[in-house]
Amino acid sequence: MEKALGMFMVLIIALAMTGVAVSHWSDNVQVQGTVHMGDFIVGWLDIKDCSDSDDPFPGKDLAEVKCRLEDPETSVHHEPPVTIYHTLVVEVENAYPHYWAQCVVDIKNAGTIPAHIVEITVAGTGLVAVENKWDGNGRPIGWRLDNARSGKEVLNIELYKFLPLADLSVSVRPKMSLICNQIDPCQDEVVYLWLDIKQTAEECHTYEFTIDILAVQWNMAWEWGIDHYPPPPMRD
Amino acid sequence: MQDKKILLMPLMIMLALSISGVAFSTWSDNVKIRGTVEMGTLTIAIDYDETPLCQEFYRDPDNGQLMPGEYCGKNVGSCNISREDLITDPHTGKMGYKKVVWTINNAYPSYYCSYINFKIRNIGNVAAHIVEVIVTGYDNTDKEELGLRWDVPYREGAFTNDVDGDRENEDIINIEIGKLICEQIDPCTWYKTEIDLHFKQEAEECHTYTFEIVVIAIEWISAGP
Repeated sequence: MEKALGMFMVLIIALAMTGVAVSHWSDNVQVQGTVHMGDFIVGWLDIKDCSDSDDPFPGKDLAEVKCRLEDPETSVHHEPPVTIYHTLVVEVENAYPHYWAQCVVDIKNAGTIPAHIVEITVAGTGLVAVENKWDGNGRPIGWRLDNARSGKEVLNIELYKFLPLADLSVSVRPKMSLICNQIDPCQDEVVYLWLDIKQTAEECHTYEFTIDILAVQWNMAWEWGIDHYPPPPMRD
Repeated sequence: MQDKKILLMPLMIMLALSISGVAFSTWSDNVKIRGTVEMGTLTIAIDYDETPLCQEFYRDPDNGQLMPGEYCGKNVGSCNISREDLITDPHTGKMGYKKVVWTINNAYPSYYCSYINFKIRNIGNVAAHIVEVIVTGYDNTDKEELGLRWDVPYREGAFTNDVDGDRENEDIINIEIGKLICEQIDPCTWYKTEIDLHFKQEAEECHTYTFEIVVIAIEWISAGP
């Protein structure tokens, strides 16, 4: 009997408490947010030219350079979609001293965030890369690759773009480093890769090199040092 | 015997009726209280008069200060705020909106976007006391709830998500909300604060995130001391 009475009292108290809670008047306002994140894609768009020094000489066209693009990625934000490639493969066959080859490619920002190139790393298997050419701002445009074992020069590489003529009062366009280059979304730029074989390169050898070009979102480029902050085109 | 009982019944009825008659015949009078209660309304709404504004910011690497706009004057991200669900309080006739829709496009790491005039007006006639702020987030691209970590409850924290698959959530969007809890808004007055978002490096490209912030107020008298 006492238990039943206790249960009843508990139930009453519970209901009363619930009643109090429900009886509070309440109202609300709401913030509903949607965030569409951007897209950061930089890569090679197409090859404009792939040529070498002995192409113009019939019968003496001994070496061959071949360029191709690999690692495609398609930007979903472009209409129509744009496919860029993350790797440019350059292969030279039957090279010899004083031979040179060049590849002209478009580098494109296929994303929606401005890109800022902060770093170029040149390396080779069994080779040591040494910067040996710079643009007017002191940024690298050329590297010499030496044999890591013997120290002998193997080949020179240049990677650059040309400053647009409109920016100049002279007719000769200087070469500009890709470092500190900003590429806005949907924009592309012509890049020149040039390499020449040195006299001390060894016969019948195969040399492999890689060039890594690192681009970051423009607003974080300052983290890579004073060279990237503020970006030269915007500096007052 | 049976006849006697039948005879007694009408007598009893007559006696009862006569007693009632005496009662009715007593002089009487009365007063009345006629009550009418018009209940108030507890209605909070996004301010009708002030257009909601969002502002972009970037952190100046020189001095670490937040500066309006985007780095180097570029126009990359964009934000827009609009109001929905227009209501009119039936008692006061005042208007307001129940919902704000905040859309941010092309966000990127280190992008700051603020809703700088989150203005809540009490358009009812009962004082409101804000008791709760419910914040939820969702990754529409991966179809999963975002985590939420408060560093300062209901004020400073971050939406989190396991971006790299290591089963630990990383901060993807920092969120700061001006003080709301325990703010009282009297009828005909308003309270203004702001909501700040800061996108982290771990926020994923091409993803769409949605979030919802619900501010709940109750009648001030029930809020307790």
